[in-house]
Amino acid sequence: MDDCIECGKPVDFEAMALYRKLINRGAEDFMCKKCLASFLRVSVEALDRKVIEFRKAGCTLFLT
Amino acid sequence: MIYADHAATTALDPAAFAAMNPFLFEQFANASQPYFFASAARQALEQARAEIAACIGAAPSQIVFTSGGTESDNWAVKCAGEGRHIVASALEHHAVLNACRVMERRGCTTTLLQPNTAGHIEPEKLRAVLLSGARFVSIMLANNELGTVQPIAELCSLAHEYGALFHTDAVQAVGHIPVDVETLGIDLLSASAHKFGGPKGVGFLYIREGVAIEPLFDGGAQESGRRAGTENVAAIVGMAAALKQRCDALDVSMRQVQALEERLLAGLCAAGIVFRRNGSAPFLPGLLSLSFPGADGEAILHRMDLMDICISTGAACDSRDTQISHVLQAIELEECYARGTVRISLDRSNTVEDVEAIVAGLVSILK
Repeated sequence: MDDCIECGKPVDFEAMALYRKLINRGAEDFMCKKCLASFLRVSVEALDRKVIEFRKAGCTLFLT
Repeated sequence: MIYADHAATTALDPAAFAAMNPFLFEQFANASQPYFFASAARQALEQARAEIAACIGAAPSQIVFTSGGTESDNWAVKCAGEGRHIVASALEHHAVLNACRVMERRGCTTTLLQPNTAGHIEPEKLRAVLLSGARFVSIMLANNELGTVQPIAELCSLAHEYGALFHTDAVQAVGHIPVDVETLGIDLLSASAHKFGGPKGVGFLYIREGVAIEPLFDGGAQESGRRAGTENVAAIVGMAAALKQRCDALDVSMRQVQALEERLLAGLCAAGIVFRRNGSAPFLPGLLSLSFPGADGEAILHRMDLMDICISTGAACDSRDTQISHVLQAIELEECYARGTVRISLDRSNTVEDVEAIVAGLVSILK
């Protein structure tokens, strides 16, 4: 598991997929969901809602 | 929330809702029934037909109500194109393109006409296809992704020189720019209510007198035997009210939306954002296809969504591929631009504050 480029905490699969979807499709370094939310100036809950939408839409980045 | 995706759909005009209301409740009769109770619905249908006809310079008898743009396009291509060599532009909506594919499977010859890189169909290219025998032409009046307006009068006149029928998908144009069927000279025209403040699920097909076109559906004798199915009176009345509202204020709203568009483009330039506007003038007011080289259009869309701003994109991705829209492919947009393409479509309901927020949102993503 990679570490967040901001806070150093481990980044889970969902946060990696979000980072690729919202920041850089080819990213190899990631932010955790909390740091990504802070960077985008949105709540973690808003990102969670996005994840639900992406999964419903069948986005393969979010397939485990 | 800032809505800047009016090319996808528009909010129902309050005047349309007010006009629809009685036909959803008190005057719910089937307009085909012979009793007095149905006469208000019958009269409303004919008044709506006359109002819509007046908005596009047609006669009421030339307007047939449908379920929307997709049905109108399918009807035109499949029934008026039957037995003819069909030519359509590669920029068309899938309602036309997929109808052409069906006609090809049924044995018709079909040809796709490539636009130039500015998103326009060149008359000489059309002439070449007409010389090869094409006798049904379908070219959209305004493109839904680029906003480019085609020289329909010139293209139609050319088609008529060769005895071809001319259909135009005017779904994106009606209610947004002046549309006059006599000036354009076209034989068939598709329109959809929800693109100009009317309800969803209703539209019309303009059919010039003398154009031979079989019904698309088999059923009752509604619409003078041309389109079977009980008329959706409330939706039709709403469509007419919305279109009348739009057309009555067209000059003012076109100027207003044009000013918003200019402000948006100037804002991006002032912020030093590198971008390209796809297509070339004439454009529909307020519809912008913008490409940001090296950016990811889908990421821009979702990040704008997180800011409560609705826009659209010209390329969608999964983890492996980017699917670039057929329109961007048709104008041969380089991939680094195509991937970073978004569509912003403004309307008279948008404000200067909306545009400033859109610019600020884009700048925050792209800087």
